[in-house]
Amino acid sequence: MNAIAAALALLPALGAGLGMGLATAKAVEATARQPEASGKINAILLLGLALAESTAIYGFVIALILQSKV
Amino acid sequence: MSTASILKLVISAVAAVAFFIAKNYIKHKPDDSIEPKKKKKLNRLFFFGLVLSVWYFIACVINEISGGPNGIHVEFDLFSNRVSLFGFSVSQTTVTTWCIVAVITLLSLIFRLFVFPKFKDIPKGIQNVVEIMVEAADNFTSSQTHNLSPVLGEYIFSLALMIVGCAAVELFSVRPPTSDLIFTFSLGLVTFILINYFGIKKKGFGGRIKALASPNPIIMPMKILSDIAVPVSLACRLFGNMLGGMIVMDLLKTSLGGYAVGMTSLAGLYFNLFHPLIQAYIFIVLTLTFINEATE
Amino acid sequence: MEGLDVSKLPLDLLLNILNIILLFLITRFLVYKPVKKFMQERKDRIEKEKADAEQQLREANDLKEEYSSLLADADEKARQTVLDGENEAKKRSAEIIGKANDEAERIRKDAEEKAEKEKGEALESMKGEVASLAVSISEKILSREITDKDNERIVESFLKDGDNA
Repeated sequence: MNAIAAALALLPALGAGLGMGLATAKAVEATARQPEASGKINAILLLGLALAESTAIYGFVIALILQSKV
Repeated sequence: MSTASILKLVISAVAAVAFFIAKNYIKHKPDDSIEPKKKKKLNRLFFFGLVLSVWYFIACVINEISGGPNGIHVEFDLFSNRVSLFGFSVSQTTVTTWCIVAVITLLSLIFRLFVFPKFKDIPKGIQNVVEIMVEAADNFTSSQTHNLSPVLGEYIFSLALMIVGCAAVELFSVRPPTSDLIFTFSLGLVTFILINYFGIKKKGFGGRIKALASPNPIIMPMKILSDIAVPVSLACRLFGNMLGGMIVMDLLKTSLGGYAVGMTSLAGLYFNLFHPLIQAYIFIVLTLTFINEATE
Repeated sequence: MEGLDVSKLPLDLLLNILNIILLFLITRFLVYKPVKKFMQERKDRIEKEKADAEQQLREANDLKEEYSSLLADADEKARQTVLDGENEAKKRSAEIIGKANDEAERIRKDAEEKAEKEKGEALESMKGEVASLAVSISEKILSREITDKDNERIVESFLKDGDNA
């Protein structure tokens, strides 16, 4: 049972991947609109990506905790 | 040492030497028998063969010494194991943290005694690097929290040094302290204490409680919950990312055995250098954002 | 979970927090404070030098203004002096020329008068000599004695002719 629970705990990664893809698309569009601001857009993009990835990481941690119980 | 392995070693060594000699021969031959484009292609081919055979040789040597590849089955401990020290049992992360603090103390002492008296008006070299670090920490803190306190800049400086030190320790294949939930939770606790301290100093105790109940007292439990969730989320984020990186590197090393000679450095370039730095930056930015929010 | 010893959890947390505080204090006193003090001193020194330089520039500008005005005055005065000198010189020269002209005039008049006088004197003496000469010649020619009356009559007519001539 633990294995099934651990596998289900990784479903939030779906939302994270979708959100990060949308963010990158908007960032690319903004850079195409104004290439001089690409440095700032890059910094903001990295910050946003790391924050959006955190929910996927929570699921990963829970899957690990569930899996390591014997 | 079975005959197969000895055969592999000998063959790879002979191939390496052969490629090397062929490469030198091509380079120093008078260039009238082969035209230059073909010469360059042959040169590149021999170089590739040389690298491949040297890699195979080293991989076979390492396989001989430490057993072959383990397959995908990899074991790891979620929480780091404990060692026994002077009768107390402390965890391994505490010992690693002590080592990091000792190394940073040594470097600071060397800096203070030998480099600092030679500071000039126009900086160059190490003085430039140190000045850039100190000034970056100070400016960043002041810009994010609108000049709250100079102590905060110093704390951010030491926090950055700590997390970068943990990333550096991981390069030596020691389990880094940031992949331990207890350590990152203590970092989150320090952030929590700082948020409340600055909030109470700026607004008073009553003001802090009032900010928790600000638009409508109904949502007070939810705000308290989200306040508690701040250090937990910070800790889990850092822990999860560092643990994930460590698991990937461990998988690479144990499942490929000796054949992972060159690949660990290339993968370590991302997982042991770039990723921890980004996570450290995120941690610091979130700390400053929450402190700024509490003292608005 | 293996490795998680719940009874030692507070101790672990406390040890880690103490480690972090220790690192904070060490880097604060060994690295952060000296570098910050050095940078602040350097900034102050540069600000002071800049303020000094600005003040000196202002002083130099003031001095320049003063000197240029003095120079303009001196220029004006010099030109005025030159003009005055020229006028003076012109007046002087005119004076000298006038004086010289007068002097020349006077000398000329003197010379004229003298010449006239000398001519008269010469004529007079010549008259006397010519008279005696005429008498002696006539004496000789006539070989007779000429009386004084005849003498005077001859001399007068001779002088009248001499005057006419």
